[in-house]
Amino acid sequence: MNDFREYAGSRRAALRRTAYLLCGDWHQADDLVQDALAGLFVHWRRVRAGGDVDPYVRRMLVNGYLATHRRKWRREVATADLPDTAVADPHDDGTRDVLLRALAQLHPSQRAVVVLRYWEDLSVEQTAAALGCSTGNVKSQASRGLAHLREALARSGALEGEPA
Amino acid sequence: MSEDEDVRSALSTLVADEPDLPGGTADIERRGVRRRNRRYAVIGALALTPLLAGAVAVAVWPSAPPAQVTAQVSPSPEPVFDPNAGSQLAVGFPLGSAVDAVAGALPAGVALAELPMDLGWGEGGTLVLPLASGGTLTVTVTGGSCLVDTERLTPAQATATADAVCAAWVAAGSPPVLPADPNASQRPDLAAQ
Repeated sequence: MNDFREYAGSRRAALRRTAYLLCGDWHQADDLVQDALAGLFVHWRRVRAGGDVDPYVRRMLVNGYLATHRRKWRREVATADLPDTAVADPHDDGTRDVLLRALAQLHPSQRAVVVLRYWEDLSVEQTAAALGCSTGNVKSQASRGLAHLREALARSGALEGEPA
Repeated sequence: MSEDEDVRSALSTLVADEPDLPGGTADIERRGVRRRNRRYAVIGALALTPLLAGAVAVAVWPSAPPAQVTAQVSPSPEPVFDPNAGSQLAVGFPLGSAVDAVAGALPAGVALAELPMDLGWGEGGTLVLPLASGGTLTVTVTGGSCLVDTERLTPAQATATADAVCAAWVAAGSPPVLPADPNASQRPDLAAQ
């Protein structure tokens, strides 16, 4: 299992960033990555023999993310305390918050399409294979998701040349 | 520069403040081992459940052991259809079949007369039929062979008639020829007894 350890060690950070863009929370991203890699461990020999390790683990990651959104409770924890008030970061021009809110407004599957297409840089076919849907669906979801993000960024003035 | 580069760079700003990775891959490996063990346990349980259920069912089965159950099976592998099953009628060569066979095999000019009410098989498998032209025709069915005896038929005609009776007897399943009940005068008076 040294090869699994090597693979997990080399791909873990990248998978974690993808998971964060999917769910918007680093702790949940860690859980998603651990779930996906633990599932990969169970089928490691078969998957490695097939030679498609990256698509397999990526698909498990996306399925895990979509599954958490299908659950009604969605890992929500009831609390009586109000959340902390945001403190202005001198290095952040507000783009992060705008983008996180815009991503959160997307449907989970649409968000997965946007992340896989424009962060993982997958082709339409690869994205469709990872999500188990048609290429036409990927194209339309990516187009709408991209338009939504651009509109949000344009409103905030984060994009170059766009009015604030 | 790709036309989607603006969104790509915006996405990269989100992960710029990435915290340190918690733990190492050993945690993931342990988690994977536990998951694999659970999977094996589920597969083993699925495979063993029918066997255990069968063993419990055999152990608690209230009836006799299988050896005695097989002993109750009928020795005849195929059911025998008996048209007289459930009745007390004796199984024998039907009188009507023999008469029809004789009547159908008689040559032109020779016919049976009106049959008497007490017509029946006699001792030795004989049946005496009256002929319309006078005289009688005696049919004998015994030992798997048939014989027709009358003065009104030639030997060839008698043989053909006997063959027809035998064919009817075989068609009826080669039953035994049972003699008719004794005459009323010979029957015991059960009421008096």
